[in-house]
Amino acid sequence: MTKHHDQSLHQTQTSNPAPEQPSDSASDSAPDHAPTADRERTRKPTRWGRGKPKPVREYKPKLTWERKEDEVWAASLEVRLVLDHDAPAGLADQVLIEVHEIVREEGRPALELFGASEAYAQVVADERITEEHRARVDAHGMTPGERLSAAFVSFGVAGFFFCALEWLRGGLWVGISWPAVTLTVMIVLAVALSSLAVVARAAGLVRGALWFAAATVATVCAGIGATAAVPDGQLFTVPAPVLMLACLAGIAAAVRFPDATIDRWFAKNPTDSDDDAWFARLDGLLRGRHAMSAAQADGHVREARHHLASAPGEAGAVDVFGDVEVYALRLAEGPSRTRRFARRQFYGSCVLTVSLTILLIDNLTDPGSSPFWLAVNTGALGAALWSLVTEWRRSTAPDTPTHTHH
Amino acid sequence: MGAAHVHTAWTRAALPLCLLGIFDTEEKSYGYALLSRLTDVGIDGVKAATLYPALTRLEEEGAVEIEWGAGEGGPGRKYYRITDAGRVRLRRDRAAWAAFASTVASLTRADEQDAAPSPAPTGEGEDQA
Repeated sequence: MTKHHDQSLHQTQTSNPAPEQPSDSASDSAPDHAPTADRERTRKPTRWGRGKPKPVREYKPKLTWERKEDEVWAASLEVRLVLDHDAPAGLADQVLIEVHEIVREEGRPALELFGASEAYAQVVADERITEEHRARVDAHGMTPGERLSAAFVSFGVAGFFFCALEWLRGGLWVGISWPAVTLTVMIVLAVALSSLAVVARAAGLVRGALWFAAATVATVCAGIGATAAVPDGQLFTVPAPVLMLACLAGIAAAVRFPDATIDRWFAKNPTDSDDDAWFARLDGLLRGRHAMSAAQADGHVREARHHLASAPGEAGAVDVFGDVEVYALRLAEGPSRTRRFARRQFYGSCVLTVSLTILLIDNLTDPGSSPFWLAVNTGALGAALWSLVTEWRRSTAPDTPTHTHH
Repeated sequence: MGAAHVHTAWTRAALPLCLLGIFDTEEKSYGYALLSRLTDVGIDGVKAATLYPALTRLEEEGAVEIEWGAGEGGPGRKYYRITDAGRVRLRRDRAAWAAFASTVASLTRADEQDAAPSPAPTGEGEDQA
């Protein structure tokens, strides 16, 4: 009889083995758990992430934990699975249902049965999150659709609070002028285009990302020019709650729009017979999704091309190397991954810091600037500088050993 | 667990050690030649999709270094060469692997002995004793 819950996961896995994903390393961190034989029926050999995630249940069950410590343990496990391991939708709920059942049957604390939540989250990730799933999400564990939705929701929330502040500061009625309309349109367009640029890059579409970035810059320049050119003077007034409702409507639209539709827009996997397209896609994924430099990505592409040229027969790139997204993930999962992403974040923080500094100078030189926004600007600049230091340290630290599934 | 899956897992686990072993005996080598070498010695479950990521990881860990050679009418060839750190790791991992294999062997031999039917005692033998 098995003595560890993770070992039993191994056993159930064997009924539907995935030869490309051995998980021998997972058992090293085995939590101590002594399940009974009849508990085998609770083990689900389901592997998550093949195609569209399929929640086992259509609703999120409300689990009641008898012990407070189990509730804390379960919450920690859920957070670890979602944040540390980018678990697909529904997996954390399913695992918690299983854990809850075992804890209830055994009458012992979850910590005693499964070990530390962090270690058990690692076991679950090893056993039940497929390489295919991890290959299709970006560094934040999001698909293009999820990331774009998140960007618009964040923008909508920011707009909502901005309108609320205007209400508190200037009263119920907000004056709308041509410069305000122009500026608002410019900001919405710039945010949308810059979000598309980030999403396109994370999807491995480097050229598309550059086009979106160029369009963002052009929009900002055109918006600044147009704002100065349009006539001043109030057009009409509108209640602040109406503007807040408009922001909420935007948030609702972003949430309800199907992520899968956006994912399809950014999916550009080559056909089996087109080797050049496969190599171009590999290059884009390594640079865009996995933050490799152009030289590093080119090295991997050249090596793969050389291998294909050396191999006898008519096998194409997809036959020899398999799915291009999975292959890119395997090449990118080494210990330098953390350093590469920290360097990318550092560059992003540099741009943010320069922008906030320019804004602060403008605020300081403007005698009519609001003390509130001056304080916000100063605080944001301080946070950006702190991020710069942190990210630089991370990007220059020795390579971090990373866990790999293969 | 199917035998094929077991062997794939073993191969993946031992692949970095095998590669370092090959590098230790050769001045330098490249992906396609390494794949052929592995196949020649009987490790034929390794695919290019597994080999190159393993080589990349060894390179990032500092166990091997790379050198680009000129291509012959095609893309250049990427050669791998073991480093001093790689040799240290090879010695360490080789010893650990030998100890592990020995442990597994001793356990499986014991199982075989337990499972083997003991010869039926004969009256003649007992008489001799």
